[in-house]
Amino acid sequence: MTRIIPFAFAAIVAFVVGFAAPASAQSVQTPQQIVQGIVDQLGNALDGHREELRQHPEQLIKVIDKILLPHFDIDYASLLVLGRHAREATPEQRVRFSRAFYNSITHRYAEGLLNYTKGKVKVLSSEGDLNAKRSVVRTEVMLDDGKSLSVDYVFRKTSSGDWKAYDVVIEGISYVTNYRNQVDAEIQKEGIEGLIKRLETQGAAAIDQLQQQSQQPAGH
Amino acid sequence: MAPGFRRDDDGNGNMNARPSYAIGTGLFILLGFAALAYLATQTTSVANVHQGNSYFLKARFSNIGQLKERAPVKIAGVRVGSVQSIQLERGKMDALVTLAINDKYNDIPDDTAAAIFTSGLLGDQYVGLQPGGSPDSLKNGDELVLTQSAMQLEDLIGKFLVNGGPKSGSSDSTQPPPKTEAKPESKPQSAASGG
Repeated sequence: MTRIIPFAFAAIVAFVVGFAAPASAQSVQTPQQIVQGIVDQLGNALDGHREELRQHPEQLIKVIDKILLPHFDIDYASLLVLGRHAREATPEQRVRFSRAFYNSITHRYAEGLLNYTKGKVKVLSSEGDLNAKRSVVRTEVMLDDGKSLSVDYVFRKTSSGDWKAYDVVIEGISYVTNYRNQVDAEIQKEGIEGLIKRLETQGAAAIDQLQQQSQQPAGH
Repeated sequence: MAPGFRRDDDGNGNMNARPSYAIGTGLFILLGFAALAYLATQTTSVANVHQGNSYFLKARFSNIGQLKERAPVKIAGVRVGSVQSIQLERGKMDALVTLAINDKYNDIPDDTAAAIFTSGLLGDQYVGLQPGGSPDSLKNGDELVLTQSAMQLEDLIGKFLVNGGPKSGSSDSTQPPPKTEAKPESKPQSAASGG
């Protein structure tokens, strides 16, 4: 009986230290703060450098990687996009798909980001508790012609306690859901390997083709 | 009365009880009501309310369109449950939709997406679940992580008119391009095709 006490004491200390440690780490940003931070950083990085970045797209990609990538759960989002085919893909294929898809997407939309101007994006406030599995941050983007676009970011809390975005909803359209449909149609046609190769070799062009092919009434 | 007519009464104005007529008519009317009742309950979705035990899932949409309670929930077009309730979440201003799924469909992956579709061109709206590939299944009380709100006809028409048509090939890369109004095409049952 007396031998148990030191064990119990050690276990308790271990537990306390284990739970206290994360709390002593820097406080975790809420999704709202993350989005506001991204908007500000993007504005700072782009202002005054637009022409230069337009000429050097690879630099623009680097900017995107530095500012956006840390806050997006690319692997989880890619798994969601693969949908039911995620089970058929080998772990190596999943990693390749994730990288190729991310690359293609950033190259496809990088230029659009050049039009992001500081002050034109308004992060809307939200009340209510944050749901660890799905929390939405709403923003409004003012376009040059005065119209506004609603862009929502869907966040989840990862196992490490950080909030990361996994879906972008633009004007009510969930992009992950949409890409899941397109990728599903493509995989049925050319298989996972074929799709990954196409993304790897063609990059942004492959994204456009995905979109065009999904508009043909063939599949459904 | 003119001669030659058979009298139905007994001469004093009291109608004879002609049993065969009365029974026949009564039976016919009962049959008529029974047929109506059958039509009303067995051939519409009211019948499907008795679907056995269900478990509940939650989904949040920013716009549910015309979705109503008791609307069907389908996977691959097959009915697996119905919409249990629709509530407005204060604070977030989202629609919280509770889905009642039949217990026998207990292996829905937890990265399944929920989207609101329209039956046919202008029919009722229903919730379509698009399964993901996660090895874990959704349990009672879980929330769906991916949702797609209903397409609003007015928004689609507005975008169509503003952007001058689906394949405008616009160089305006502020918005993810022709995607925005072309998106509906990738949703086969959206109201766009009827718009």
